[in-house]
Amino acid sequence: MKKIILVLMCVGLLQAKIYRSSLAYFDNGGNKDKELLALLQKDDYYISGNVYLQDKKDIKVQKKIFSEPDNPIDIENLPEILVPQWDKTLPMFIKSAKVFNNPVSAYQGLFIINSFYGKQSKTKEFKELATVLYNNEKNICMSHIFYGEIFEKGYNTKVDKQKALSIYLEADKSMICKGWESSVLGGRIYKLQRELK
Amino acid sequence: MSIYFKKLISLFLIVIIIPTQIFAKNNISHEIEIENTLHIFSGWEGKCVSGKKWDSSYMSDPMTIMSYAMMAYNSYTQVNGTSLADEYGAWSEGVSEGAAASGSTGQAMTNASSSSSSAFSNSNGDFLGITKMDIFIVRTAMVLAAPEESDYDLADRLMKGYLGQGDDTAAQAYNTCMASIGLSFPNMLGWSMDENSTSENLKAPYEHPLRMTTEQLASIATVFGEDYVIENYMYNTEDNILLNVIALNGHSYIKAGEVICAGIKVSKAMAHKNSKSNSASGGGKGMAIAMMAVSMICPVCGFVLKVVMDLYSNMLASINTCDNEQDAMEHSMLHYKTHKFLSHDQCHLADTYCDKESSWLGCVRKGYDYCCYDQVTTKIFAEGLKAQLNKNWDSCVDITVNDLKDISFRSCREGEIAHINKCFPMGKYDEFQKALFKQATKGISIEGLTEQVINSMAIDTDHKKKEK
Repeated sequence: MKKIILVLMCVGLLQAKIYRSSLAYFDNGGNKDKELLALLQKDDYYISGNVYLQDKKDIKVQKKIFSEPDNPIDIENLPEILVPQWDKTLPMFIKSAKVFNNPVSAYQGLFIINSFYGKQSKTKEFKELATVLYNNEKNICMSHIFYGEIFEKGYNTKVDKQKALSIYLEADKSMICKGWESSVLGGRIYKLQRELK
Repeated sequence: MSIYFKKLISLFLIVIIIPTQIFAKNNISHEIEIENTLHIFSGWEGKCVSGKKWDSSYMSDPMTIMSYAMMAYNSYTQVNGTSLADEYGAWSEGVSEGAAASGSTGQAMTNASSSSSSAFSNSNGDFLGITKMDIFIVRTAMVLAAPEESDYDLADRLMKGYLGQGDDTAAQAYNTCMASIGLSFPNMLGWSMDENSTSENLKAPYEHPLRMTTEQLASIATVFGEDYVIENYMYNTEDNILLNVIALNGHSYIKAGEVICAGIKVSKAMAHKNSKSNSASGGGKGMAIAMMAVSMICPVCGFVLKVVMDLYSNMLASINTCDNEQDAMEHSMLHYKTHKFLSHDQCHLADTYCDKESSWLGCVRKGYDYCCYDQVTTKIFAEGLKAQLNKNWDSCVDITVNDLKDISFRSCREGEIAHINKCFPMGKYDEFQKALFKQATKGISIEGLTEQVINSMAIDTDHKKKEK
């Protein structure tokens, strides 16, 4: 009985270490193997990154918001937008990926660059994180899309459309992309195939 | 009191009539004739209605008829074991065959005026323009797939997540998808502020094909209209699963991206949330959601409900443009102005009639004609003059300067009749005094007078337009 309780406590402890913002990695096909779960417990950079992400004390206030040119929004009258501290979070995930080869941190870091910094401003970091993710987890569709993009666009490397296409086709063959992922992947394959004709 | 009243009337005549006469004398050679026929105390014809809407014009709208036909057909096929999904497949195959048959020649683009898209058309000639028939079947079916309450909630979460708030899986997926097709928050910010600092996708969307289902493309039509889709997208297809779609400008690329990344229903909910017109109509949205929910569970019930709802909203719903500002505003500018003047007691009821008649229910909507004036005092004076001149209310502009020769400003005594005894009706006499004193105590500012002049000019303009 004591053993069962101990096992349950350990499982609970392990699960507690998967932060809410990391769930997308596993939901989108990331393997929940023991080594990775163990890594998530001891990787202080990963933990710090997620703590910063959830820390609401020092959240920044932004008033910026996009508006379409033909439908301008009165920026001054918009409510304040609270965003996480990307500046503190991202370096933690980059270190975690570099030091521990942590694919979850790589995935989260790529998400931040992709969604909030813009890839063009962080091509070096994008390449590093996408490589770590691709080398450690091929069961996630976005790992192929991020990695292929390095060669398609030439992020800190030479443009190699053929290689990019082969990475995309690899994902297509393994049928890991579902829903919008297959739309994104299909669009890229179609575009590259036309360009390489 | 009578002397005082006469003084007031004299003052009134000095303010209103004399300047008019001077103007007439200075400008026109036939001054005498014009002076005699010059209309004074002129009003304008106001209108309002009260009763049921009883507007059957929607039934003759071809789109309504076709929409009903498609819904009825859908109900029939659902009941008989086939579904519109089969129709999509057939449509998709048809599209595929069409594309194959057209080869690389392609169709001319709808908006060939765009230089960038023309350039694209030359180098990518196998993309086809979209026709109304292409999207009609799917679009009609899409009407059934209206967002539900949960879709609106998800739309909220995705929109917050897009700006960096919230970190749930769905929001992350939406952001990742958007960013993967060049529509991240920084991309959009750059596009809206400075086109050069945005993504390649937004700078040249026609060079970045999007993979979409026919339903996804058609769903854009349900929000932005068929013409929008026809004018802003081209497509080809190499399989029966997805279309290769190119958007011809940034805006249409974003809309397509939202549908791909958020899904049909949630992107519709987003569009509703972003739409200013929907912000004030929560009840309408709720009703639409309820109706679509019924349609999905039971297509026949949905069809019946749609017919009933249309019937109610166009025919049986109540309307009162006399008392209800919203109704008046929605009906027409004339009704709105009438409502405004009525609320300030500046109109005289001239006629009541049956505006809409049903052979079964009798009169379902009453109409009211008014003569409205730009001042309460003018209205009362006109009422008094008409009574003394024995004029009816067929016209609001039938009192001339010539008529004033026969006018007496003596107040009628008990038992006297205005037009026989040539006196000013007793009730109007008192009313006029009260109105004048009321205005005097309020204080008539120059702004107030200017506004009245502008109002009366606006009314004249409208009438002229109507006459044309």
